[in-house]
Amino acid sequence: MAKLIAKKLEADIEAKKEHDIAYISYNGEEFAHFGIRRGSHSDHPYIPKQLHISETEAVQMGSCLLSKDEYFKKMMAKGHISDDENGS
Amino acid sequence: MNKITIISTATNISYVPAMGQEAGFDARVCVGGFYTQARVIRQNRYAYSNYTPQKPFFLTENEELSLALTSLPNFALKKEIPVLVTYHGNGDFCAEIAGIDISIAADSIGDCLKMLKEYVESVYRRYSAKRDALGKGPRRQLEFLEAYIGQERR
Repeated sequence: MAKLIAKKLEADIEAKKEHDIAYISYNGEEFAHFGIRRGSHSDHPYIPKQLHISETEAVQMGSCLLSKDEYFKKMMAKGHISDDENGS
Repeated sequence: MNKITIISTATNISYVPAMGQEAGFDARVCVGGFYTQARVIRQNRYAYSNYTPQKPFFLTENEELSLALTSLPNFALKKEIPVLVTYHGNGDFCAEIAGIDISIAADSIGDCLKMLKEYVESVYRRYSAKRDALGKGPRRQLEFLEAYIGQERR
């Protein structure tokens, strides 16, 4: 799921020796990151927290139920990113 | 409830970050990235011990263990970085720098701490270089890390 979310959010992936780190940005401003385990049977249980969403929303992000635009709108509503296009 | 052994009896503990602890007393020691008790046999700048812990250390599911990063591979530390380790069952451990949302999961506590060190260095390097392009969360993380992380080693 972590890889799917990183791909959906067009994360900048930094490869480390034993894991990857996905950095998320919006309009050039970085606002979140999470670790991606390699070759593991399970995902990182802290990913939803680091993405500022619920576990249910994280699962929806991993499927087609929550789009990238919807996620960014949620982040704007929560104040994690600013909507520069509207001058706010 | 499952109990997971996170330390086997160690026989050659070499690094004891309990400076000043007197010989003959137990001290908190760092073994392979996590802490246990060991008996100090020589008092020095660092105390050394070859004491074999008699009781294995257990971490139960959803129990928190407070540890600290005492070093980073490429940076000096101004002070130890506090870390919370939790066991989530199914062999999944999480290490978290409490309060700033930097956390990583792995199959053992040792792996968790090793990966967390890489993670912390990555975030610190990246955010230091992008100071003007950070949201409020990353800015807070950078401020926190700057209080703990010193100069990069050459």
